[in-house]
Amino acid sequence: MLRDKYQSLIAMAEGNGVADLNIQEQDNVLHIDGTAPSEAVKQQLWDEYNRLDPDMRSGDVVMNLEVAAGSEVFYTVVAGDSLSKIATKYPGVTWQKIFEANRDQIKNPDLIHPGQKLRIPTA
Amino acid sequence: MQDRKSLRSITAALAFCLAALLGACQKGPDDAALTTSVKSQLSAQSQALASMVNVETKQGVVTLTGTVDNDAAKSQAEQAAKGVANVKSVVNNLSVKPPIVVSEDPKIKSAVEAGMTKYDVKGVTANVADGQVTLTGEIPRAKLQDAMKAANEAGAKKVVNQLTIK
Repeated sequence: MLRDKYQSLIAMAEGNGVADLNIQEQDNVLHIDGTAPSEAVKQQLWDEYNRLDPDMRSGDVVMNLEVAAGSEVFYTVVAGDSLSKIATKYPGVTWQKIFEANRDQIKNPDLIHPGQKLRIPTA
Repeated sequence: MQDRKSLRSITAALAFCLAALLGACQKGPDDAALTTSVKSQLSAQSQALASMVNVETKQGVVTLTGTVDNDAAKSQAEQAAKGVANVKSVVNNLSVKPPIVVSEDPKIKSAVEAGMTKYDVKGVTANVADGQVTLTGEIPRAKLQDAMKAANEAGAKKVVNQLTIK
């Protein structure tokens, strides 16, 4: 059973507040569906999947996790930051998306200030 | 004399009752042992399966309840229970989850492409056939997860990764 192979991934999903979680083996593929409470939890699950299958070639998992709406993440700018540098900290987020989400406080994307609290959109 | 006789018959009656009671009780431990054997047989095959199946035994008849992923798991549990010695019969009351709905190919295809844009993945081709996504092309290892996320979040039934990881 694939549930046995991916037992640690399933336990992680169950233990980290993934809502509407449905785990089901169908046609030799383990489907994992649900809504993660944050981007960080989703990433944690992907890292676990990646740990169990380093090259992700088994073809026996389909993991479709959404991230709960309103689970906004904020980042406080420190000296030496740029939007693109900040974006690399959040998989799936581009500097353009951060710029878009913070139009109210960023006029010029090349100009951000230490101490600014930037809204990080969900990927 | 009379008293002693009646005492003896009372004692005999009590002994008889006790024996009958013990006989009835004997059923209990047997059933409990069978339940344990069925559970360990399930665990031996799959810990996950064992955790999803409830086992109850009455007079050698094993009843399975709970919800499993698919028909194969349902019959696997039944076969496992039937394989345990002294099990008279198995009542399989397991329910099976409704099947996962797979999107249609064109819908999967456009969802994967939207995902590739969202995760900023370039140089990956996604072929979709019979609900299956096959990824080809070259990808830096740092972007492998992103490419897989795009393919996994498209309602496919299977994702095959044939990417060359650089």
